[in-house]
Amino acid sequence: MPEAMRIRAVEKDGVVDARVQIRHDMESGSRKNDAGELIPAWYITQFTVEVEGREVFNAQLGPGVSRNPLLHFRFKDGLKGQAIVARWEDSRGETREDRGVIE
Amino acid sequence: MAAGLTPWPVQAGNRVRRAFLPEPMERVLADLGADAAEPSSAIKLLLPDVAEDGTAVQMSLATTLPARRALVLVRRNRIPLVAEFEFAPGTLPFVAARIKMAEDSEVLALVEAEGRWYSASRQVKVTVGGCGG
Repeated sequence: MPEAMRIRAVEKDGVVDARVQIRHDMESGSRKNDAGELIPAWYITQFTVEVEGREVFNAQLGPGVSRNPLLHFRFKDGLKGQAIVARWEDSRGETREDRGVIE
Repeated sequence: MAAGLTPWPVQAGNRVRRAFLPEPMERVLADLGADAAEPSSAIKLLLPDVAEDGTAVQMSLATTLPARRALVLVRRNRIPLVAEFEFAPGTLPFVAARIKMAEDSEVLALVEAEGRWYSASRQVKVTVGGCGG
């Protein structure tokens, strides 16, 4: 079971400043283990964020995004107390969904 | 587009899935139709001049263009395309993330606004490379 994301979203003057910390190794496929064998690529490919059923942010990630991706973005029309839902899917088809609340 | 249209099971609707392939950056630009992207001072691409650790290089991108999407590429990474970000209506054309850089390289931001491609680029020196994707 992949680890939970940490979601922090703060509304100020009509703009929500959001940071989502994902836990994922984001293996590039070009690293070797101690035995000298290539570690297979394994990384998040899709990331999306919704507020009240409305998609506010979407990213397609490749293995060039660092381990434990931290994504920072901003959107309007989010209100304090609304739920913010983040989801990802990785290159093995694993998925994870977590919720936060706009502060 | 080379990646083709594939429904995303996590998300309703169709979206062009980007392929993250080991290929020259020019090839990625050509596939996007962005090889004639216009350099624009309206794109602010922030990166360190020197990155101590190529496994995590802080990148931020913001623009005053009415951007619908932005892509980030690292020319000298094995897989140059790092990510594509989509800005929904009401989402500010801003994003920050950490990226991997295998060695000294140009980093290119591509922004699509009103059906045209714009670009900004920065050169980054990498002290210790980061197996860059």
